[in-house]
Amino acid sequence: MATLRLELVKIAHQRRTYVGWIGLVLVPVAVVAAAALEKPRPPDPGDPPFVTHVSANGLLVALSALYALASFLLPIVAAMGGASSVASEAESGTLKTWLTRPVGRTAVLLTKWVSATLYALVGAALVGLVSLAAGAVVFGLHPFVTLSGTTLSVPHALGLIATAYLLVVAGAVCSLTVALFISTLTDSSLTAAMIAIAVFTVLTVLNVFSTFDFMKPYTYSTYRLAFVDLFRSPVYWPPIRDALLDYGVTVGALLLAAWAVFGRKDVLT
Amino acid sequence: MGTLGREFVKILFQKRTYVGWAGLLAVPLLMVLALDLSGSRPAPGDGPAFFSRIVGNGLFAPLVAIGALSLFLFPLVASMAGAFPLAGEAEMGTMKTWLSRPLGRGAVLFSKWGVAILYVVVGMVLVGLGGLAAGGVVFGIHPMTTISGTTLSVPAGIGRIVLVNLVILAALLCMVSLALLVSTLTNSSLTAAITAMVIFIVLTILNGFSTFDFMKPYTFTSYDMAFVNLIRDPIFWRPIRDALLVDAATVAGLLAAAWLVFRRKDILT
Repeated sequence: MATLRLELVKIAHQRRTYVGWIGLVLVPVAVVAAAALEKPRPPDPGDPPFVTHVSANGLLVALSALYALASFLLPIVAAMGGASSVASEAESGTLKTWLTRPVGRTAVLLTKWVSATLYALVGAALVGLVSLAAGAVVFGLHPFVTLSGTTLSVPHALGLIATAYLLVVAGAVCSLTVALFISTLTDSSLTAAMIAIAVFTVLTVLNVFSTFDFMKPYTYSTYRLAFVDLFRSPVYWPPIRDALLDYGVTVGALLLAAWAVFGRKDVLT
Repeated sequence: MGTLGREFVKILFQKRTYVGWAGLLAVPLLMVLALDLSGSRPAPGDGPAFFSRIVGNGLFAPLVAIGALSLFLFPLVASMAGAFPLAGEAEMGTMKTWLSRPLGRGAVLFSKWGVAILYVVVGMVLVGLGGLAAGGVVFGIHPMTTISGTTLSVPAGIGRIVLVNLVILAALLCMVSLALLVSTLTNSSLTAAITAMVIFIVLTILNGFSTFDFMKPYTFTSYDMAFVNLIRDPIFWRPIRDALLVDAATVAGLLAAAWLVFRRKDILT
């Protein structure tokens, strides 16, 4: 636990930490401002669910923000967190110092992973809290109408929204672990982050083409909008279970690979 | 020019360079492969702009590839290219050495900017040639039918595709310059690249809300589809002129800011 605290202190002292969080929080603020100022327009059939009627219920702000978060921003911020963990120590020449402490390499790697995950989690929590606060102030919180047409009380809906955020964070942890794995292979944090983002983007693009449907069940990018099924009544669990299973396998395999590489790595800086 | 040449040699020795180029090149190849394997013609309006036309005419493959890449992956690569040359020197502790050479800081800054552009241009050439080759082999090269219904000869069509690439390059210069500016403010290439990407995404999201229409004429992200007008006959120049004007003003502003910061910067590593 002491190692984890050290890692968190390091994160707290980096400027990019706050750049990432501020970028994330701008999204709900923009959603609220836009929905408050915009004249109501007829719903477009291409719109994702919940996004059209944001001004009717502050709870929907949190969900609208989640769409932007799940598709781009959180994977990017998470990839940054994962990439900076090992490679940026190598860049600043402090990896050796780190490893001279009486801690095994496995512990170092896992601490890096946990602290990066916490970073993504805090980012998502900030977005959730800011969007709920702004939504509550501007539009008020009202009972929530699910996709199935039933109505949920505000606390119940808040619970579901929190679950949806956790699900999206779990998806972003896949990008984070890709970045962590690459950052054990290279000494450049930028390379690691860019590869992780590129992998996510290319997978997302491939998911669009029906030729690549065969790989859909196995790629973590497929499930980025799985949280929508939480807002049916009763909750439609199978896609969410699939998503979690896929995330678990992806993260497990990548962590194992990262451990195999890092455990035997020549640390030169 | 000697400085630019030396910078280019530096990036040729980095693994990241080839990862970026290979990732870009993979997109047109995978796209043509996907279309070839699926055997069915995608419905018009499906996928990226002009996607459904590739099946009848391989000449559209490079056009679709660059159009689709310009929305996300090329800005990502451009931000990486712009972030690394300067901040990377600071990371490796070679910035002082660089500046001890008999060169003004302005020349150093502009050679870094130049090499980033060179990197992006090589990426574009790879995507264009890869798309043309793959599309030509699989679907054949035929005269191009424009949006206006007229037909262009193959050389004229290729000329239009080159123009499309140039218009997209202008927008990417904004990303390169943005990343360069941030990289003068920080010593971490990762921070610079991610900050540039976060700004790009936030601008793109804001462009999606009609409330923020007032800023649309001034943000380079709002012209992401302007290139489509080059495939009309005669070319509809107005949106393209607007796009180029905004791109030029953005690049000039960002570069001037980068120069002002870098000229007076304390170089500690």
